[in-house]
Amino acid sequence: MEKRIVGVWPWFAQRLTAAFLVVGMVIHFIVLHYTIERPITFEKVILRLSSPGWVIFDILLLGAVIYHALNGVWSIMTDWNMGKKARKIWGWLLSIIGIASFFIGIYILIPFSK
Amino acid sequence: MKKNIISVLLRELKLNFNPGMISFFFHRITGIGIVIYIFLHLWTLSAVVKGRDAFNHSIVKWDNTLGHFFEYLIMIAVLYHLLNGIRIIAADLFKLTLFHKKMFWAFGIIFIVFAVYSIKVFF
Repeated sequence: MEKRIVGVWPWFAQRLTAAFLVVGMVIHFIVLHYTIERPITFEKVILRLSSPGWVIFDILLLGAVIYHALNGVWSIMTDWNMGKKARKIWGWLLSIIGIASFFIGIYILIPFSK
Repeated sequence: MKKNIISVLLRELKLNFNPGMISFFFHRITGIGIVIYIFLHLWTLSAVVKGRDAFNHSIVKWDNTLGHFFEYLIMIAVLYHLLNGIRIIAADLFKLTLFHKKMFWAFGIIFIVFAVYSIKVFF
């Protein structure tokens, strides 16, 4: 059997991010769909993001959602029983996509929180 | 033998038609949908880099019945994935595996209640 380097931690992190996302997504939907008049304009968003607490919340939500999403994709791929080389390539590719998306997300947050 | 992901899922669903398999099937489908949406979400929001008018324009573009319909679809996908996720955590971490079928039906009722209530909010 292939030596396990990361073991149970990605699985556990998937549960941890899930638990955070249960709360986080409910809040995200309440503030952006259930208690706000459409359309959601730039002005409405900066009003919320003028407090650092909301910026931190959004960054945490961004990180958790990207990890959970891409690790979810990874767990679908493990069902395909890929070869060693394909596993390695996809592992790196998903990691790079994840890190890049996280920083793109932060970059998008900057104009709102200035 | 490689087969496409949806046909494999459908075959599994047909072979094991029970709450565990049904919930897994929808968890996977909604999961894939939400992953695709996240990147579209980032793409739409990225208009803010070009300024507030560009952002407002990109948001207003979806402020119509079709846009609201897609929003609603994403909302119920997230709602399902969220409720079923609670069920998975309960079974995995809190030794509630014996109750997973009961939880499936209980969360099913919660899902329907919120999905119906949200029609009023999203349309």
